[in-house]
Amino acid sequence: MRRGEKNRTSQREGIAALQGTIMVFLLFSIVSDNFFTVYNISNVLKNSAVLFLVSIGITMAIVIGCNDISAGSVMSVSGIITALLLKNGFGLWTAIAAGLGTGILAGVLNGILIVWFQANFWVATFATYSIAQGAALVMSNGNGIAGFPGAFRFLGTGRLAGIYVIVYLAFFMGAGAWFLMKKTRFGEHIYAVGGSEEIARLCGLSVEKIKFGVFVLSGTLAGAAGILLAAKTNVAMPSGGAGYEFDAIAAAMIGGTSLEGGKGTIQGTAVGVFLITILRNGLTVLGISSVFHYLLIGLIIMGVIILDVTRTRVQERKKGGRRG
Amino acid sequence: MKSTRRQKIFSYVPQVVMLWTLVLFLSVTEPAFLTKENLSNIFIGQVPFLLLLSLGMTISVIVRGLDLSIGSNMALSSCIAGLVMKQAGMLPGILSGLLTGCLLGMANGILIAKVRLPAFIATYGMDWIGKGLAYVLMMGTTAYGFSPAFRSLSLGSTAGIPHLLLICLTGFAVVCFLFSRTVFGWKVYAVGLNTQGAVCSGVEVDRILTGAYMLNGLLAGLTGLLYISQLDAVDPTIGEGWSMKLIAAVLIGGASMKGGRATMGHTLFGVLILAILTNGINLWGVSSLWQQVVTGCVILFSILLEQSSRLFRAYMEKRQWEQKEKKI
Repeated sequence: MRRGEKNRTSQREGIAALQGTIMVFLLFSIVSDNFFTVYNISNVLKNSAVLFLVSIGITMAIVIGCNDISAGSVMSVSGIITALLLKNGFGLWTAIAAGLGTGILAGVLNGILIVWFQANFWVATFATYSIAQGAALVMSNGNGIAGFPGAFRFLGTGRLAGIYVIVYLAFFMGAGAWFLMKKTRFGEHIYAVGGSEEIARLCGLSVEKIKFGVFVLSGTLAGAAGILLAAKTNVAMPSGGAGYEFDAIAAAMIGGTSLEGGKGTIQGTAVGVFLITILRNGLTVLGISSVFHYLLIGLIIMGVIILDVTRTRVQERKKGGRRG
Repeated sequence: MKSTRRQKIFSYVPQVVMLWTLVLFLSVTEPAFLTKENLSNIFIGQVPFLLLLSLGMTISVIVRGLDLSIGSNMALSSCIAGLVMKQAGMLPGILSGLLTGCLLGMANGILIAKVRLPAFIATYGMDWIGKGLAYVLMMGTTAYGFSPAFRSLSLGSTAGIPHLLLICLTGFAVVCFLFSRTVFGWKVYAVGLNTQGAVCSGVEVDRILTGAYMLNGLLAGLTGLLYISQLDAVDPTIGEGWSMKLIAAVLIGGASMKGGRATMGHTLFGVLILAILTNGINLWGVSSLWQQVVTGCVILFSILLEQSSRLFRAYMEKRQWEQKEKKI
């Protein structure tokens, strides 16, 4: 009974986010002639693919009751490493494996700090964030690395049946993550730990292993996103991933993931990712100077987060009132 | 808070040892370290800004948060101060800068206390908003060449002591006094140590939190003013990358992220260690790109040290309990 109720409310939230996204989409289509074109829509899809990959990992981290702010700079560093290997004549798959390995390493570092040393997850992921950012700067000498072989570029800009390869990749990753979260024991355990760590531990779950796994997954996905970002833009910048973690946290929250943990879905996050990408794209299409982007996006995302937090609180208060 | 004087003095031992080793090592290996130029570079070019901002960061650590918006707060308030100063003179400029810092801090405080966002998210969002506002404000305009009176804030000296050092030491003394001798300071510590307990004993938690973040913002505004006074120009990018350094300084000072345990004195040592370490890296001729890696490693090292000592203590206590139980 309780479980059904919970499912219904989270479904309702997902629908609200979807309605908002559709409204924003229609608004931009009416206001601007250049928004609802095949070129622009496929651009939106391409951009949201990268953000979606990071957001999957961050959603899992939030659902388990933590957060991962290192994702953005892990993206930068894995992009830089892949780019450097490609530039120095290593094979495509070696470069990609190294980029993914960087992500895994960052995830393991997060996991070790949070699980073994029981550090606060904000500070732990912040430490990883600063080290990854510094490593990206040192390895690239502070400059972007541009110009990759065609096979690597195909990952980011190639098309199959009119749709970008990167979109297929994101779709399959998303489907995999949805399956993992909803249909496997590991996913159930993530929700259990996020709901209440104490209870999960008393039920005999090994909370440590689950947390470690989630952080490694989140790091790996950030690494993959960094590689795809480099492939998409044909350049790996030492600060290329900066800000992605913020967008991803916002996307997860728009999609109904609660910062308290234990609540959130991959499909909700997908809706959030679309909303944020459409907003960013719309601002560009409308011809608003890029100087305003920082401010507008910051304001919009903060507004959405505040709205979300207050709405959940009001709902909880109502629920409590009914019970009382 | 209930530690004896001896415990208080002993808690400084790791920091003092670290600082002393660093200074000794650098003065032996680098002849350029103990020159007048280099020392004034450290103590006038680095420490005052770092110290004032780290005090703000310490305040946010005391209330169990971290402030990632300090850098852009500094940028925004200095941009506004510079623009106003060019139009209306020095005093309105200074006041508007301080006010901006305070307001941005208040916004952080309200988001954290009233909306109850995690401090990280609130200040991270504020970081983008502050930076964005600074960029928008400075679009197509510049402000440079301030009056000699304003510039003497950072360049002048009274009785042989540079004004910059004087201002930062006064700021340090005032904040120290606030946090060790006044009711406001005690309440801030109470909120950080145990929020529920503070509520039960009648502390107005929301107001104290907002006040703490306002003070934090005020310090950022003040530092922004001093910074443009030294730079003689306004630039929306000035605060970038500072928050990482500040967190490193506070953590290496031995502050615990648990809240309610950081002290201003420890932060002073953290700032000195970080400033001298950065200076040493420059003297060794390592590329400045490495600074961020070193800062990151300092943060990592501090976390490892704090957590492992905590886990070790917990383990020892558990073993003692077991032994007692065995005897019974």
